[in-house]
Amino acid sequence: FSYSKIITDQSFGFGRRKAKRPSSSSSSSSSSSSSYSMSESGASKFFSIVSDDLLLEVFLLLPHRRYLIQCSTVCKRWFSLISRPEFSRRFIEYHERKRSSDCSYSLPYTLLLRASPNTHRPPICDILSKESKSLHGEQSPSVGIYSHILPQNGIIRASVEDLVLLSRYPNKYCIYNPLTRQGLWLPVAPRGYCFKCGFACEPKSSGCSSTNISDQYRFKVLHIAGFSNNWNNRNDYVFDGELFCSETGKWSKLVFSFPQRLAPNLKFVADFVASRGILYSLVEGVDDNQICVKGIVALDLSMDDTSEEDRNRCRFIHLPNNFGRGWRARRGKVCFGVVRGQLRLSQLVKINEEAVLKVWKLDCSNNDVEWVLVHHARLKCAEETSTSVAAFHPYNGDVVFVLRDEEIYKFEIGEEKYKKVGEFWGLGLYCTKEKLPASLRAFTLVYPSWPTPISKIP
Amino acid sequence: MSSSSTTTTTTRLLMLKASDGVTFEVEEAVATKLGAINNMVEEEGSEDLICLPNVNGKFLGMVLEWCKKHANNNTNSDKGNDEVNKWWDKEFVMDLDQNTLYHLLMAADYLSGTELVDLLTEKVASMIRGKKVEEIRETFKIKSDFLPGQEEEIRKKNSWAFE
Repeated sequence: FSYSKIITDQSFGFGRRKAKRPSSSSSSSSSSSSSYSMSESGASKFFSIVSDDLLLEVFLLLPHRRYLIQCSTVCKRWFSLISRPEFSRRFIEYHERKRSSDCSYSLPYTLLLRASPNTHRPPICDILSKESKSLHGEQSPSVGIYSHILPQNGIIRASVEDLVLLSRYPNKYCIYNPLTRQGLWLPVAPRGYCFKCGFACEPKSSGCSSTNISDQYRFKVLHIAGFSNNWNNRNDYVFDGELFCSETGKWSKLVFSFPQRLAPNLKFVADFVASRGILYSLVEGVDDNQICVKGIVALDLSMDDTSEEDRNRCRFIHLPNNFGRGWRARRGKVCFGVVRGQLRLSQLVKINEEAVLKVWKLDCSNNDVEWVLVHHARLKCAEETSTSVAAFHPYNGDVVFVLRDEEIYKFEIGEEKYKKVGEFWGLGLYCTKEKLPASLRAFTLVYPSWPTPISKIP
Repeated sequence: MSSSSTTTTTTRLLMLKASDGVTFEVEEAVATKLGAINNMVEEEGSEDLICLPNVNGKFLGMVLEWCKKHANNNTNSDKGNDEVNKWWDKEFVMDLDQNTLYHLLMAADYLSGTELVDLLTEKVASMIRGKKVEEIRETFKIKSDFLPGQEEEIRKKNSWAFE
């Protein structure tokens, strides 16, 4: 290559030609002058003459709002640049686009495992990714961060993105962001106590994009007080629910039902889990005189009419065909969660010396839902330890969190790689080691670059 | 496209003259990675000497070195090329001292070398990340010009970000 011969100007007689400089329109359209001379300067000079646009370009690349806020206290200029509403919107859009287009893009996350569902302050095991530790700051404890940060008066019931739903007996709910500590207690639910609940949070459609960032999400909270007294139709389970919607700020009635024969002696395994505007809950029933997982109840919240019972709203999803039945489908052997917004179901069964792990994802792309087996792996495990899947990784489908006795391991499926990431402390008072797999509740928090704001109730 | 590793297709050469009189002879395909120069070439299509009175020869040379690398690597449309570029970019910004980084960034911005600007702004952002406010000021030699109490007020509003 014969380029970049450095020649001094004198050796060429180009002086007669019209020399040009880049037109100002092609360089960045910054508000400050684009001409500069920095012959003797250093950092301080650079930051005094660098254009607003270029500086904003730097701020845009910071991974989280935490860093923006910190930068805004560096000097007045940085403060005024970062405080521009159009910059905030651009920051959110930039990171959203990056997240949806780059499948290797990872966000900080926290996994919260709660031991027993019935106690008010149950033992919690929290597992924070490295990045989420830095978001929570240096001063926060490395373990027990959530018992530290969650309000004392609420029990965690559900999580979506970086928000949690807390409940307080008998019928109070709070939407809470554990990072920013912004919280909102909802009006008291009309009837009954919190039997089962669910929480969905989704961006409002871009069509009615509000200028206010804190107003861009819609929250829905489902409150089920219990079975209905309406036993007119003896073949169906009928549920009396209430649905809170942040846009109206009110609770409205939501009744749903499904045939009893699908899950005789029905029991909900846990609260509902949200994925793409639909709430899912694993249910148990009696099968061959055994209590075992029978299927999944799916509840579509997007339907407008909440006034009366709607058969289409509720759907019963049967277990995959190759799912082990009977004792294999007992509660502690089945795990259920969301990976990248897609529902996953796992079954881990130990036969003789060998444990077999199967993982399915729920494909909703067609009108009909369909289970797709994504993992079928054999695990070596020591004879005396019990192993169960505690939770799914929020965005890596090849990783599950595994419970072994009282310890939590991050397990890479197929690689046979375990890494201890946490353990339960003080379990004895509340729950035995043997009961732990079946009573474990997992909540995943994923931190978007801009913490999800909680709008006020109208 | 047929291999162009040894072809001597008549590539046009451009002359770029820096503020200190240093001149660079550059293939058109390399120089037009810079938006500003591309615009000029498209506008007039002449083989004019292009004067760049706002860029010093040292930094213009570095910008062109980057352009050359990326222009070359882009011609063979290998899949691994992305990786090569990334690796090379990493090396490129790794050892930059602050002074050079800033000059280079200003030069790249002035010349509308968008990709290079992205690379260098990312480098500056990485110097901010994980630092406390005091450390940021120290790194970038910025003096706080807030009135007493103003900074505390901002902190108080978003206390979670400072814990």
